[in-house]
Amino acid sequence: MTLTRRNAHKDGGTFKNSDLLWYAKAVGVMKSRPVNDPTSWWFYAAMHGQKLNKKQEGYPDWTFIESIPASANLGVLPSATQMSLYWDQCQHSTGFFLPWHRGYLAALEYLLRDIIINQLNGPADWALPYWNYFNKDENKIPTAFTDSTLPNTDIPNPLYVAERYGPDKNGIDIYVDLSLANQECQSKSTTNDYLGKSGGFNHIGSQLGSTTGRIESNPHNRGHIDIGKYNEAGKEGLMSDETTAALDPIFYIHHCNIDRMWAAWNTKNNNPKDTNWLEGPTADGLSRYAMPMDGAGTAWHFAPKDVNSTNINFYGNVGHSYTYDDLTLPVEAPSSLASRLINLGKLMPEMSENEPVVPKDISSELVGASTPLTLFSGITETSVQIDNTSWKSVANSLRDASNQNLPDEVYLQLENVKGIHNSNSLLVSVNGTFVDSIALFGLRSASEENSQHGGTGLTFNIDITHVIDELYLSENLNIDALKVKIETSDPIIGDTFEVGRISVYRVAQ
Amino acid sequence: MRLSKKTHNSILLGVLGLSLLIWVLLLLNPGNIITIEHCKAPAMVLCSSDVVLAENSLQTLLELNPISGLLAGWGLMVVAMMLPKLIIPIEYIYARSLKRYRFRLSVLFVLGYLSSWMLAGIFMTAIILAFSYWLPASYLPAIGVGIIAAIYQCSPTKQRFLNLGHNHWNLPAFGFPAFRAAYLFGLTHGLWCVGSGWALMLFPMLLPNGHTIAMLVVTLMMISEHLEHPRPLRWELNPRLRLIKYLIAQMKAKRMYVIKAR
Repeated sequence: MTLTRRNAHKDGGTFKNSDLLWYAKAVGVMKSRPVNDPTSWWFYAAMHGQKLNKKQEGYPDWTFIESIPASANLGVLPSATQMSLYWDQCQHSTGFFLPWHRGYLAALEYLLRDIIINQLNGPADWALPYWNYFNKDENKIPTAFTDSTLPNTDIPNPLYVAERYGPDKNGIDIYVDLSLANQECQSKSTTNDYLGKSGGFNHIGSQLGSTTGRIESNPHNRGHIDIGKYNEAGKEGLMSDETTAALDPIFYIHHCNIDRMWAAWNTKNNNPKDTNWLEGPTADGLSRYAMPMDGAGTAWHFAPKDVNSTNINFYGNVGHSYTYDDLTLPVEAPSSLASRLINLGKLMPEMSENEPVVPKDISSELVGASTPLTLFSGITETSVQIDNTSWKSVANSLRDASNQNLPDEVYLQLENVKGIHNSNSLLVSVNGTFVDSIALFGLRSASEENSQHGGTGLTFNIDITHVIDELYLSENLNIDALKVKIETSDPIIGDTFEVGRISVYRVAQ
Repeated sequence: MRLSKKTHNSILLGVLGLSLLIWVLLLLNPGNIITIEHCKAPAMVLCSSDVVLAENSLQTLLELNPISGLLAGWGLMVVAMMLPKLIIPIEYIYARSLKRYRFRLSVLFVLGYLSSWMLAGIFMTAIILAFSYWLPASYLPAIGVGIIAAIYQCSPTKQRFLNLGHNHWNLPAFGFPAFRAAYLFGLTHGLWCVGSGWALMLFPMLLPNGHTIAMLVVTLMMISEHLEHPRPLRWELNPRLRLIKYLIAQMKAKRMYVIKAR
């Protein structure tokens, strides 16, 4: 049977939507189990990330989270073997972001269906719902997640958590802010742009290592910090931090939408075909991902090749196929490369059908850099010094550009951004032109010295090619520096962010 | 931002080629350019690391093993063993530096790195000589250091140094600060490497026989453990076999590719 994942906002996003009602009941069953049970809500959340068996003074250590009941029995942890195999697996800032989360959702859906069908006598076609915040008037969280009790009962609503503060930080209006969130990623046609890239031996987040795909940075990261945000006391919501995010039931509905967007993107684009992506962590000498499928902790091991489509085979004859009731793509943007050449006067509009061919071996080169920078709440301005010798290559590539001789692309890179405030954003402008907003989801963990990031923080790439094109067209390309303005969307918890360097790179094609 | 495949391959070939060349030198040891000629006098006793003592005299020991020669041999060994480990930071420097500075900054980084190991080499050589003097041709020092190395492998202190090895510097882009930072980056990277690998490095040097094979094994272990992601600090038994797993996985993948191509 192929399951159909449906819109959580069906029937107004209330408990009249039976998908949400059964989700709530099954989550309630999982939440009633202790953390050392591999089928408990707490164990599954810890598989994404946790602050339970690590030393942490105060929040977000799980023992300080009020919405975790005493029945979770956090004092009795699973065996060291189970924690080592299953916990802290989430893949972020890497090309494995989408496949890992697809496997994670599928395993949870399998467990929830077992509870709904076999314990609660619910519908056999139940599947995880998704929250598509881009649908008209549906960017607010479905009310089934904010009701304090289940309908017509005094039973606390398992989908409600108090640690969810929303963009207005009031704990009442929980929504995804569409002034910053968008689905532009859906028009990206290269897999590295869309999925991100795995980094091989380079640790996550390093410049040479893995890169964050567009779908991960926006809307995924933005959705996380908008929903979680922080309260007046400066305490971040569960969704704001990767070590607490999966405790919130909205996490899986948010990720179901990300998975839906991937499936929609796949209707016109293919996933990578190279072995290093298909084999995932094993190709880099790491272990396959593992999900417990029952109370005994029976593991389903998988690699990206096993979740390359929505027809999944867990093991043996246990399969899991699903689709979505909406796999439409937003209106397709025209080829950005051809448009660019036309804009630069290097390609006649009538020739735009001759799609420029991008060579496979592209390379980047540093052409400018700033000194280290401290960001304070509000606006920080700096200039990035341009290296005149290297910059000539950019100017020459623009001067000589054609559809056979592609012009350089230019990127601004914020390197080694560190801080403790995940639920903040950096609004970046170059020479007065707004270029991107960066959601800082994952910043705290990435800045911790002994984390998987090695304490190097996060590094962000921003395409500023259009700004440079404008300088070229206005004959102002002969520059010594670029003016960069960075504005934080919110006052910074911890007072400052540190930026190792702001750099400018040319990408020669 | 990524280096081109051509640049990546050039770094790979250059570094591995140089390392291989020195390995050949260490293995063949033509004209005893690595070890020191000591075995001609009668009544000499074979000791560790091809060092030979004459009647256990410290003076003879030092005469037969000039410090400069020992340190030169130590330096060559460090280059052979550790250079492949520097591929990732060298690529990092290439990616984050102006094109015309890349090679020079990488050389400075390697020199900084070697400075740390040479400093450590003074102490290590002294230890080796001391054991050679007090316990000539004995396996006891190697066994003792081997036990210490095994315990240290599981310690949070070792993990801390391994984690620090992943902390790559923010490099200034222009002028003298860029060159100074590259050297200091190499120096600190070397210090973290010494901190994590001193016991493993000492072990083969104390073996009376078979230290070359032990060096090869230690090289693989040290490269492999530096490829692992940073981990939380705790006592744990972690074999850190990522390099071997990687090589097996890549061989399998290539075999599958060949089968598919047929």
